Amino acid sequence: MLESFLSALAAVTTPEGLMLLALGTVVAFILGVLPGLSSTEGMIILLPFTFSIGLNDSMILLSSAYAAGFVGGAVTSIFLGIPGSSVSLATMMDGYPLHKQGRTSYAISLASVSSAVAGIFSLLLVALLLPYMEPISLLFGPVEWFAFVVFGLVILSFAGETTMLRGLFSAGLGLLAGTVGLSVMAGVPRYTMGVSDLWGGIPIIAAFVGLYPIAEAVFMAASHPRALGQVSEPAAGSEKSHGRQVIEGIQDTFRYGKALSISAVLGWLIGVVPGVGATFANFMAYLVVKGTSADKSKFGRGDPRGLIAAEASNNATVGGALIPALALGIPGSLNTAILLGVFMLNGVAPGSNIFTENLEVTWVILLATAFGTLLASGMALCIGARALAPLARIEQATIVPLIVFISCLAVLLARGNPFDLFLAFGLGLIGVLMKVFRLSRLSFVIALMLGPLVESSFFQALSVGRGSPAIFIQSAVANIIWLLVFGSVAAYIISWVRAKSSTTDALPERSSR
Amino acid sequence: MREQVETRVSSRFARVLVHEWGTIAFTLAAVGFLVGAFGLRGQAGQFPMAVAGLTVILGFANLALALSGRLGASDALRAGSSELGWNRRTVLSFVWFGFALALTYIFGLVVGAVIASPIYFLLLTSLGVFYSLLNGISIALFIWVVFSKIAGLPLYDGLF
Repeated sequence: MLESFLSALAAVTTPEGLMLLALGTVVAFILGVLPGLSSTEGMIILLPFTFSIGLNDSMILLSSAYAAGFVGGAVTSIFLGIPGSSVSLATMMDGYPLHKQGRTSYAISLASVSSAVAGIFSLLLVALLLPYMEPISLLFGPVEWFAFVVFGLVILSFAGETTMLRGLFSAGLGLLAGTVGLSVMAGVPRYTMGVSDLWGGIPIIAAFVGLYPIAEAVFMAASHPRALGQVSEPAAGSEKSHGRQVIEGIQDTFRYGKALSISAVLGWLIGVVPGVGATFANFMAYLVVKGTSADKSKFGRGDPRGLIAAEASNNATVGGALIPALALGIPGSLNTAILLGVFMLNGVAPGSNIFTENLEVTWVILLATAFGTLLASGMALCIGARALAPLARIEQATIVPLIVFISCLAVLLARGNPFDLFLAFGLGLIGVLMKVFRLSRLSFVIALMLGPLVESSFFQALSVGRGSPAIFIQSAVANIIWLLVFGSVAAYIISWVRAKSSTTDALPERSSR
Repeated sequence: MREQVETRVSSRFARVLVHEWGTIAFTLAAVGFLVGAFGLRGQAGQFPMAVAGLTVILGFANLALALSGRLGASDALRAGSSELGWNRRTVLSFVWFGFALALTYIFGLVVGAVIASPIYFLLLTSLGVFYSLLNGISIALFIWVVFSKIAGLPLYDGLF
């Protein structure tokens, strides 16, 4: 364990490693600051570089970007009062009022320091749990793995961007898209329409690029350039010196230790559950910290606790989300799905061997994410409010061609097949339609990625059970997971029915007025 | 009375058709997968058949829910469509994307960027001809220098 840690540390601290770390952090930080873009787009834009470097270096580049984009997103929420990305939605509730009060540097300081502390805490927790993760992953055979994927897809449907039914429908569509290509069990081409380029299935990089950067770029291009929020000027005369505000922010982050620790732990736990992700954690932590505070009157008006809760929780999910991704190969978020995609492109299958043969890569991911978080937080603190403002002002529409062509490069380098450009375009159209009709792109792409593995584990489990489907309920671990699946569905339906009946009850009152 | 109910139902049906045409299209795609699965032999067809069957059911359940107006307030908010206005700008954006990718496919990445980027700036931003050309060429140059010269990656150079 120690040997792997030291060699990972050596890999990250080589001149090349540090350069990649800086590149990943800076690119994702800048993209995080640009409204509408996040660390996901940052990671996809960095993908072309990973085709010319090894697995360790690829992980340094992508992992640092993973964490840095979250910190960048906070800057936009504070400056513009619109979320830089969905994971910073709750950040703007108290961040923007602080900016309006002329305490921008203070707000950025609170956001950066709480991000850094919670991010490092969550990664330390993963590092402490590493020795126990191999035995846990060994408990997962095809039956348990199948059950856990179903659990992940169901949870993804609840907590995703849309309603449960739409989320499940999107996951079904993703699984179907995953069946395109040669059948994993019979080796027969399916749904290829005679196109031999589709025999290998829908390439995951083309799917990432089409569904996210290209679909987002269509939205950016189609939205009017002047539709963006303007950076409002802070209250006149209230601006203290940048340095004083930064120091005050650092002190206050630790002064509100309760908010920081609650959010970090909650964010980490939410991150562990596949699919729930940073957006949910961001809101949940905000609500919990607000709920547990004696004085709630300042929340939404620039309360530092609200900003700490929002930022600490989303960064804490990073460590949590790495657990199902590394131990079971089940991505809990799009960012971890990209990491796993690069694993697979390098011929490394996540799972128990990640803690034996590839332990060094695991440490590289943890160290690069930690350094990326620290570097991005340091950047936000040092660059200062005045220098960051112009970045947040950049019109989305002007960066579209750059995003599109770098995304094309990633698609072309992944398989070296120009046909994939058309796939990316087609998936881009699907991504736009899914966004317009509020279907879950995240459920779709994760189901697409896991589809072939779900199918093979399903048939492997059946063959273990000699064709009897009873095998799926003969394992204690699988049964616990099935209970969680049905419990979550039941809880969702009950809450939906309650919400529906309370809406119906409210209607006569309204009409009687 | 009956006519009123029928009118209400048919107008709701029309509204669902308009607002949910994307969901209908995706459901029909799932039906296509289901039909296709019947043509596949043995294990190759079993998995897509099961998944397509469930997906079709979920698609119809979504539509039935929308048709019956049983979406709760928060559901309606989350399920309601579109942030994207279907106007000239949206159509131009789609056309530009198709054009840029086709150009890249035929002539390669750098040529695609040199030609398609200025056209984008001219059509979809408020930049003038000079700055559109300058921005477009800068993007192509940036990609060439960073990815080809510095990172040493092979840039796709088209069909010819």
